[in-house]
Formats: sequence, structure tokens, C-alpha cells
Amino acid sequence: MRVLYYANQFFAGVGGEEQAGVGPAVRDGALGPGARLQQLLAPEATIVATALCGDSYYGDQPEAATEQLLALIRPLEPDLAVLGPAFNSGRYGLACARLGAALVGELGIPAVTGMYEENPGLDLAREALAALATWGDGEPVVPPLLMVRTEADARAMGAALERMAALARAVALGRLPGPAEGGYFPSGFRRNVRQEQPAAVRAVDLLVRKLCGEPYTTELPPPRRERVPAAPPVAALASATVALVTDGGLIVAGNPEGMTGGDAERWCVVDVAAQERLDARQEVNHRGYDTTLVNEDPNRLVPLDVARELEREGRIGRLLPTIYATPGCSAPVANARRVGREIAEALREQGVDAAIVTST
Amino acid sequence: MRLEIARYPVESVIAGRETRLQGRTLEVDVAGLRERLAADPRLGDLQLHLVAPGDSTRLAGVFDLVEPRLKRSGKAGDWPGILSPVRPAGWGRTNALQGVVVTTCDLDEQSPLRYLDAGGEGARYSDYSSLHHLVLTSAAPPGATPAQHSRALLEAELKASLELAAATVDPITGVDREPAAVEVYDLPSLREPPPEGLPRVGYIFAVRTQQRPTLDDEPILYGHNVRGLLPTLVHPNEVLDGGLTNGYWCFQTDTYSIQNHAVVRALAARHGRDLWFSAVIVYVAPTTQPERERNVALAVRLAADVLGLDGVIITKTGGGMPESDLMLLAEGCEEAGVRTALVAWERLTAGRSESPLTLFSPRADAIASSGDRDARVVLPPVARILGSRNPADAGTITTQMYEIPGAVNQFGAGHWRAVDV
Repeated sequence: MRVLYYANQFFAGVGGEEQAGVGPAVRDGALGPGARLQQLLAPEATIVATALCGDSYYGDQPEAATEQLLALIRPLEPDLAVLGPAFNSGRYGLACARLGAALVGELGIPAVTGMYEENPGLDLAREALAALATWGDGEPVVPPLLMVRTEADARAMGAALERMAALARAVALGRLPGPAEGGYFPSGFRRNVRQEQPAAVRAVDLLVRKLCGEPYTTELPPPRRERVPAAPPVAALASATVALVTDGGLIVAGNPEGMTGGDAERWCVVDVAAQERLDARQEVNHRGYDTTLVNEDPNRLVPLDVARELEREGRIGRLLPTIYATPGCSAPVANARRVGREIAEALREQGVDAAIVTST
Repeated sequence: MRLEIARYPVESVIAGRETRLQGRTLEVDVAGLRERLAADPRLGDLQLHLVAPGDSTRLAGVFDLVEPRLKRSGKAGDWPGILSPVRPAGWGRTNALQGVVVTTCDLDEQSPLRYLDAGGEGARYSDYSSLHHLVLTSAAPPGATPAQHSRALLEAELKASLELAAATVDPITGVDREPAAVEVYDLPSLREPPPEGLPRVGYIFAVRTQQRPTLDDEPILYGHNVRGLLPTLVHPNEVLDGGLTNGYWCFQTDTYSIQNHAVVRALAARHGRDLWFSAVIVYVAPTTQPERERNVALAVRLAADVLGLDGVIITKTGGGMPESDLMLLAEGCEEAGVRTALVAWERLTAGRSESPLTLFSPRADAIASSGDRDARVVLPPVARILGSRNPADAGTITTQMYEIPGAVNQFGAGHWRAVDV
């Protein structure tokens, strides 16, 4: 098995921070930690070359650096790549994640890297995986970009290399263990696996352990939440352009846009320029709540009537004549994030200062 | 309360002149049964079919599934509050046919349970694929409202299940046939204190969500529609013995899975060994926040202050909104000193683990996963489709786990869980 090793300028032996601007290069053999890695991978695998790049060079022009490295690496025809470990070095971690993802995506080879849990490279790697993953037979197909858990600093190099080599060997043999067992970070995907015991039995087991003071591990860890800082308040509402937005499933009557009643992937625009209030020209399509009352009077969902009043009274400067709507309803976070961003961009292009979002 | 469930395993089901059990072969008077059930004017174009495991048959529009059972002794008859007067279920002896289920399919309603394959590649997701089904399909006839039709379907499945279960009794002598096994549920009332050291454990059983409001005569708890029901207590045996039914809207909470309730049985199995199974708190998930806060607070004080429980298992019902109830119940209990473990499905888009539930409390640190309910699966074409007017439903179908009856049971009965990759 032909293995490519990647290191930054420091671990490749080029120099310290003063050499962080050095450009991409490939050298024969296994440099720096690659030497130990070679021992661990022998005899089945050989490190045919070490690719390197300065952390600053990579950070300043990530797309170019990746392209250049790919061009250098491609002719070597590696079967697998090992990158880092980057420990808690942010720029190094980002480089390993970017290059690793590119090798997986462009060359179709597994890439094993290692970093500490706070390294920003992890999030980048997960985003890359999200872009590359496909849906297989009832489960996600996640490309083999593996991020081994390491300590924060290079004193743990020995242990990190051992884990990375073991994982490289396992993935080459097609026997990849799960994240907990393999010592790598979850990719951000989950799949269904068959269990001997039903969930009810396992829940009782969890409870008894808890009550006895024995260690227990939840099967459903809490999600990682994004903190979104609030925008500053509107300075002068009387001169502001305000838009009405809803995830309650407002649509044009007859649903000409074919909006679904949930699992939102799209949004639509409801033109109300000619209206002082919503009426039979609008409907509500949403399967997550009983829409009887809002279909009787859609102003209960999106208060165009009141908003127009405020506009007439001069309490708000101007009401955008279009309502932006989506059904939401079990919209996965990734979709909701995209829909939100797209609507926000559309509003910003039209000079909107504030949006009122009515929900269910 | 002592309940004995006598199990009569069935390995093949055939149509015949009378309904009887010979060894492990169940013969069913399908034609006669159909005639008797079709007398109900609220049913339309009632058809009965036998489906065996391995058949290239798909069931669509599944309304409910019921295990055929017959009360032989006890304080209540069969299905108290629906087919018999309200008396306490859960006492005495009940005969149960094992490996057979009466499955009703509603041709009109858009049931969330859409595709159960008895054979082929599509049969690997749900344990219900390995059961023998007596399938009843019906559509509301002109003049019958959806509510009337649903009630009729429910009564028909219960009556059909009784006729089948009657085969466990010798028609001449009136004596029970020999069961293969007898399960005993000897669980105390609150009168009996636990032995020293055993924790008092309960189960908060969310039986219904009002996302789909219950209809007037929709039976959930002893035939009652549980609309506005405040958290209340039942004995575990009542769950297993006909005190509860699914009602008209089945979202992976079918009556079969109530009769064989996975959590109740799991707790009962460990009763007296490492826990003391004290009580079941019946909970209804409302659709407004003030009602939710009220119901959660009342359920938590039942668990903590009235029953003095050390721990509870909590499960959810319905769709996404009751995930809030699940988490608020867990949080409230933990804060009141009642430890919790939950069963919950996961909602993952294309397998992404970002947001498995709509609400997540950090206090919910012990959850058993019943799997990614949104995982898309492709079902291959089948030879026969029942319960659907659309012939395309027999073709290749892309569906999700939660649409397959039994694949993601909300009481934790299924055999899937989601794991990180």
C-alpha cells in the first residue's frame, strides 16, 4: 500500500514559524513524524513521499495551496494519506482538514488525520464530509476522512501516531471500527444499526445504572448548538423597511409553486402589494399544526392587516410588499440554515432593515 | 395484581371452514368472519386477506394492529370500555395467539403508516414482517363519516381478534388448550413497600398527542378519548391487558405494541431484582404551551411527590411537538430528584446528526435511541398490494423508517438504533 504523508513546515523539518510562508512541496520518503509512522505501518504499507506546506501559506490561500498540493501528489498515486497530527494548532489543523478532504474527494483515497477536539479543522472537516456524503441503502455513505482524537500538544505524538496508523490499517482492510472504538471524532453522520435488545430494555438498563451510581452512556448525545449573535436593534423604526416572514406555511392560493406541507427545502414569495390584508388569495399549507383557524383568516398567521396599519400610521417606514414564506415542519437544521440565509440575502438586497417572523 | 398471559404460538395460518387451532396451525373461517364483520353498515367493501411472512405482499394505509387475545378470567372482560363494561383490566388469565396479528387498513385515510412488506428486501426493517397477518381492508361507505368508519374499523379488528383467539379454547369442552408458555406479571399495588434498597421506578407513558385531536368516541384509555386528560395512574398490568388502545391515528403506537408494551415488560422483568416497578403515569401531550407546562408539572409531582419515585422511564408519542413534552418531563423529574431514562427516535436529515430532536434538555443524559426515523429506504416491487387504491404502491417505493409499521416503535420495541459513523 502506497501512503502519502503530509506535514507542515515545522514537522517536515523546514523550519519554525519563520518558515510558515513556505509553499507546497513533495519530498521522497517519510519526514519528521513520518519516520515513526513508517515503522508502525510496515510491512504492509510504505510512505512513498512527504508533502509539506507552510501553515501561513496554506492559511492565506487555501484553495490555491490545495490545488498545488493535489497536482504534486496525484502522480505519486497513493492509496491512502496520513496528515498531521495537528494537535491544537489551528492553521495546521485547517490545512490537514482541507487537504484531507481534497484527497478523499478528488483522488478517492482514504485520509487519516489527527487533532485535538478544539481544533477548528474539525468543523471544516465535518463540513467537507457533509458536502461529499451521499445517501446509500438506508444509510449515509460517508467518505473516509477520519479525524483521530489527540491530546492538545505534541508530547502525545507517540500515542497519536499509533492510533492513526491503526486506523489507516483498519480502513485499508475495510474493517473500519466505529468512532468510539477507533478513537476518532464522529463525522457528523449517524446510521441505523440492528440491535439484539430493543430500546426499551436498553433504557431500563440505563436507568438502573444511573440509580446504582454505575457509569452509563447515553445513545443520543445532545446536539452541538450554534450561538448566533443578535443583530443590533433598529435605530429608527419610523424610517425602516420592514419585511414579514413566516415558517407557518403561507402560500398563494392554489399553491402554484407546489410548496410542500413540511420538511422544508424551499421558500416562496407571496406578493401582497395590492392588499391591505391577507384574504382568499392566500392559503396555509402546513402539516405540523391544525391550520383551520389560519386558513379561515391568514392574518392570524401573518398579520399583514396590523402591519399595514402601522405603515399607514407611520410607525414603520415601509412594509415590503412581498411576504417570504416556508413551511418549516421538521426542516432539518441544515436546510433551515440555508433557507434563512437565502431569505436574509434577498431581504438585504431590497434594503430591508428588519423582519418580523411569525411562527407556529 | 396478578396477570397470566398464556402464549399460543402460531406458525402457519390457513383459510378453512372453521376457526380452530391445531397444534401450531391456525385455521381461519375467513369467509364467515368477513360476513359477520361486514354486517356493520359503517364499513364499506370490507375484504379479508391472509398474509404470511415471506409473501410478496405490501400492506399500506395501516390503521392499527392487534394481537388476538381472549380473557379467560379476571375482573374485566375483553376490551373493557369498548366491548365490555369498564372493570379493571390486568387480573386473571388471558390467552394470546403468538405470531399472529389482525391488521386493519383504511383505504381512505392518509395513515402515516404506509408500507409494511411481508417478504423480500423490504421485510427487514420491521419485526411485524415476520408475523402472520389477518388483514382487514375497508373504505367508508357513502353516508358514513370518517369518525364512524374509524370506530367501525377498530371494533372490527377487536372482534376479529376475539374470534381468532377463541381458537385457544376447545369448543366442545370449553377447556383451554395447552399453551406453550405462561407469562406471569405479579406486580404489587402501592400498598406493598419495596424491600430495603430497591429503587421505586415508574413509567411515564405518553399515550396520545392532541396534534391530531381525538374524536368523541375514539377509545384510548378504557374506551375514553383522553381529551384534556390530566396525568393519571394505571397499574402496569392494565397496559398489557386491554386497558389501552391506540385509537384512530397510529404513529408507531399500534395496539399490538401496547399489548406487548416493551417498557412495561422490560421493567416487569427486573421487578424485585434491581427495581420496584411502582406505577405507570398516563400522560397526554397537548398542543399549547400553557397546557404542556401544566401537564408536565402535574406528571412530575405525581412521580416525585405522590409516588416518591426514585426513577422513571419516559417515552413519547405523536410527532415533533411531543418531543418538547418528553424533554420537559425529563428535566422536571431530574430537577425534582427523580432520575430518568428516555426512549426517543432521532430525526436526521440524510443521516446528519445535527439536530436529532426539536428540543433537547442537558438533563436528558440517558436516552436509548430507537433509530433514525427519517432514514430513507427503498422498497423493491411486490406482487400484491393491500390497503391502497394506487397500484403504483406495489412498485419501487422510497419511504422513511417511520412510515414502516413497527420499524420505529415509540415505546422502544423495535430493533434499530442510530450510531455515530
